[in-house]
Amino acid sequence: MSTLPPSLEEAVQRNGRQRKALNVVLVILVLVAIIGLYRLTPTQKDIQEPTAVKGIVGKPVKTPRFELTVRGVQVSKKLRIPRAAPVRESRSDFVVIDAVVKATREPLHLNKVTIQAADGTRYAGANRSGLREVDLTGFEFAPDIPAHGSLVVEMPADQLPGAVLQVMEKAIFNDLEPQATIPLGVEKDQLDGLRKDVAILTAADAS
Amino acid sequence: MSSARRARPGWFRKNNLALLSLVVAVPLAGWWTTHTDYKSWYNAEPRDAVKVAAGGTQYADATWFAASVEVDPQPVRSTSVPDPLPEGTSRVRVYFRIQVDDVKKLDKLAGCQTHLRAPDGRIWDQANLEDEFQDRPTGCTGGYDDKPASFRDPKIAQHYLKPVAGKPYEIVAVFVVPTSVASSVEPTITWATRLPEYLAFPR
Repeated sequence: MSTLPPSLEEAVQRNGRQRKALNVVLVILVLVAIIGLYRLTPTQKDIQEPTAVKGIVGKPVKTPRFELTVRGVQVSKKLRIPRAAPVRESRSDFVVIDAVVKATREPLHLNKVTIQAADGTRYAGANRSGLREVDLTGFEFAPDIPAHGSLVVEMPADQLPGAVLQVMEKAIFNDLEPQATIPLGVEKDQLDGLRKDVAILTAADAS
Repeated sequence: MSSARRARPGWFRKNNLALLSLVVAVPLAGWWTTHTDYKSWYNAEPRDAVKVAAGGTQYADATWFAASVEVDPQPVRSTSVPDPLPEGTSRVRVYFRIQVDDVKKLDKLAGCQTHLRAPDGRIWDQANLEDEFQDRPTGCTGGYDDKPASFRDPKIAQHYLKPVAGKPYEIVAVFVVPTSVASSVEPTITWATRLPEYLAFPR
């Protein structure tokens, strides 16, 4: 049996070690690539979440199809709805948002209004009887004719600090649709100032 | 006898037919899915105008004549006091003239929606609360009275009679639009079942 000369044997061993090191590097690279691609792949949530169009209170938020300006917020246990009786009472609170809306392209309705609290809880727009006939969710907005009115959400007022108003045109099939997203900017010490005995709802009307 | 071995055909050569079919199938599948999505998006809105000629245009089994447009019209009753309009807006009244050869074909005109369209593509719906300015029926199928109704103003009662074959009848639509576009908007009529086509009435 022939034996390799020592220098050649050394070279073969060195080659083997290099190959092993290369394999380890390649395995690590492939793992990194797999994990990286996995993290970069959009999730169902990324595909379906509405696209936030951010704004602030007092300035118009311009989405491609409508503009929304939040003018102010009231909080109350009671709500008087124009042309409807009696005064509605809530076990939590009525948050009444005074707003101006106009469409930009064609007539539309705003069908989804929510307030997302700082802890992530979402409160849907109030659906008390008679409300839709007078608030902004029942109004048809026309291009470049601003309408002034109210949006109402029933939620505990102590959840308002850090809360964000979210308004969309569509209530369903709204994947990636623009969503006006406006932090209400209410601080804890401002809550008493916003509270009214009976919240006054402005009936929606073109201004 | 030759001992040279012939080279075995490579993987690409063995699968060339399958690969060629992929070259055709992948773009075709891409085109097909994109095309159907594009088509449903395109057909969802009024995009293809059928322009109505002054002398009349045949469309949807009816003849459509040029529309007449009035900015800031007078109310039907001279005594009525209409609600003030929002600032910077104007009222626009449009009369459409339609004729059918057979009254049975009126059914095909049902479900029409009237709009005003600005040159930049903005659209306004008919105003629902402007009935003080409506002196004709508002639907494309025209009137529904068998004989002039006594409760209507005698000046307009004839417009509410059922349409007669071969004779034009009129319908009305009243709009509120920003004053800046009141002189440039064009009346249009759409049917959900006929999109993306729509009838356009040049002014």
